[in-house]
This record gives sequence, C-alpha cells and structure tokens, in this order.
Amino acid sequence: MNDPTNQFHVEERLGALLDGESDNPGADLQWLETDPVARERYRQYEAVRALMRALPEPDMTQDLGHRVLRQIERRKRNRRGWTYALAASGIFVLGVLLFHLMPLPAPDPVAVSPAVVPSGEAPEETLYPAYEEDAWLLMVDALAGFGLSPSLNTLNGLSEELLLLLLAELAFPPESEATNGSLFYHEPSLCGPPAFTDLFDFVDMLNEADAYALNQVLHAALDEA
Amino acid sequence: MTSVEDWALARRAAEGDVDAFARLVRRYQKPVITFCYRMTGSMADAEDIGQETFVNLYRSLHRLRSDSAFSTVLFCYARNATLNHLRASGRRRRKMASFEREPGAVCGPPQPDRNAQAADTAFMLEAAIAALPPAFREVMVLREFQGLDYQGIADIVACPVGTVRSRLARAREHLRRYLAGVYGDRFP
Repeated sequence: MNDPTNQFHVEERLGALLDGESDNPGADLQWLETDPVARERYRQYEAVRALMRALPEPDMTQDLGHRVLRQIERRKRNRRGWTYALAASGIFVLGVLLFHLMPLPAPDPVAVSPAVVPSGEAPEETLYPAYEEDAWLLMVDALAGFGLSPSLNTLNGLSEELLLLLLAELAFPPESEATNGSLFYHEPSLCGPPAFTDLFDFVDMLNEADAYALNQVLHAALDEA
Repeated sequence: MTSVEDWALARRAAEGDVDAFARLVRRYQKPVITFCYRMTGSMADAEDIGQETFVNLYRSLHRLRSDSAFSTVLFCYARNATLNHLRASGRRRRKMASFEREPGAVCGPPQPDRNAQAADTAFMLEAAIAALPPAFREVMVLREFQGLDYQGIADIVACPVGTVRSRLARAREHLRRYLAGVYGDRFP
C-alpha cells in the first residue's frame, strides 16, 4: 500500500466497497480478510462515516417557504414595475420625438413684443405654439388616457407625403386659418392651454392606411433618434 | 413522496399553483439547506442560498424536463447557487489554498487538548469538511448527508461516475488523515 498509484487505487476500492458501489464486492471482502492494513484502513473509513453522520443537523431559523414565496411575489411586482417604466419611457421618447418633429412657428410680432402694447389697451389675443411645457404634460396625460394603443395604432399608416404635408400645415398654418386655430394653434382664452390631444383627435380621424404610414415614419425617426 | 409526485407538483406550480410550489419547498427545504450548510459552513448563508435555489427553480419551472429525478434537478440548482456564492465570497480560494499544501499538512496536524477532543470532534470534523475543496466537498456531502449513489451524484455535479468515485476516495482519505492527526493511535 506504499506505492502512491496503488495507494490511490486502494482508497478508491475501499471507498467503493464502503459505499456499496464495488464492482466486485466478493473479491474485495476476501481481500480485506487477508490484508490487515487494508482492513484497518477500511475500519477507519467506517469511523469517519459514522462521525460524519453523527454530526448535528443544522437548525433552520425559519420556514423557507414563506421567504421563497415572498421573494417570488416581490420579483413579480418588480417585473411589472419595469414593464410600466419601459412603457412610460417609450411614451416619453415618442413625445420628445413628436416635439422635435414640429418646426417652430414664425413668431407672432405681437406675441414676442408685448411691451409695445400701449398701456390701457388690452393686448390682442395671441396665438402660441402648443409645445409649451403644459402642453407637453397634457400630451403625456393624453397618451396615458388613451391607454397608449388606441391613438398610436391609428398612426399606423400615414404616407410620408401626407405626413410632411400635415406637419408643414401644422407648423405654418395659412394666415386665413391661423385665427381659427389649427391643430397646434389656438386661442388661449377659448381653449385653455394648447393640447396635443388635438393631434390625436386628428389622427383618430385618419383612415387605417394613412395612420399606418404615419406610424412607420415616426418609428423610423425614433430609431434614428 | 416520489419523483413522479414531485414532477406533478412542479407542473402545477408552473401553471401558477403557488400552493403546489410551497409544498415542494417544504418537502425539500431541509435537504437543500443541509447541503448548502455543509458546503458553506454558515447557516445564514445556507438559508440565503436555499432561498435563491428555490426562487431560481420557480423561474425555470416551465422549461424543466422530467427526464431526471426532481431531487437531482433541485440539487443541481442548489449546487450552482452554492458554488456561485463561494466564488463570490472568495471563500473557495482560501479553502483551496489551505487544501493544496502537502498531504501531511492538508489541514495542519492539529494539536488539540486531549481532554477537549471528544467534545470537539464534531467541530473539528466540520472544520475538516469545510477545508475540502468544493469539488471534493460536494461529492462527500451528497454521499454522506444526502445518501445519493454515485450515479445520482454524477448527474448533479455533471461528471463521470469514475470521477465521483475518485473524488470521494480522496475526500474520505483527507478526512481520515485529519482525524488520525487529531487522535493519533486512538483513532475512533
């Protein structure tokens, strides 16, 4: 048993015999009877096993089931939270994109220089663009109110030409229509803060093909952004 | 409970039956915790790893295949979580460093007070088990504390039966030498 190779073989053989996994238990038992060194080693392995199995079992401080189920439920909630956060982020990005797609209108001389209005005279009703901060918040609210999908689904199909035409018209309304209020212009005294919901009202009126084209263009622009 | 019943519970759990999964946890929490405890030497760590094991299992329920015994699959998860924990804590490296010395100094020839030997046997043996490298310790724990046969252990640790046999032999020999160093000619 002093040869290391043989030594290792002996350890494996004794271990397998101890574990009931010997290939030839009869021969191994006979070997033990004739080899006192191997017999003593085998006895010591049995003692090691007995000591190990006599070790006290660990005491669990609490039922794992409650902890596990609590954590599973927490992860489910977190996943829902991430889903909502992603949806909100998507809406935000889309909103920013819409905001940047709208060209700034030419400033109204009256609106940009209120100081020239003589005191005592009521200033003329001015038009202002809808992409003010309040309008932005309103748009986000409007999206949420629509549950996102109804309005955005209607974006699925506006042709690019029609989109450009639409945007140009929205950004630079004809003089004759400006006072009536286009989709992005209105008279604050009549309508309150400008609302992008008007855009969605408009989009809701589009046919499916046009709405699809609009959506495609918006998504392409979003990807580029 | 048989593996067939376990898999039936697992299928129900995968379909959203939380009570079925709770039954599985209650059924296997003790062997899993015992395995983790023997591997880490810390009850707090063992409970954390056990929890992680069951949570990971729950997330994978829908893609598990019932080709193997449920307990085998479960212990695969427990083993992976435990090894990840050991790697993360750096404990593995320290244990390996102490183990990879010369065989005579594997655990250092201990010189305990003879009067305290009997009372400290369990403590010393646990220390000796903890000093084994994880690859040896896991087969030893699965064999001696879970009572698995060589094939079952090989399925869990993903190695041939011959490797299990040799690792067990080496682990057992190290423990024997450790106790021989403690008790000398008064080996129990």
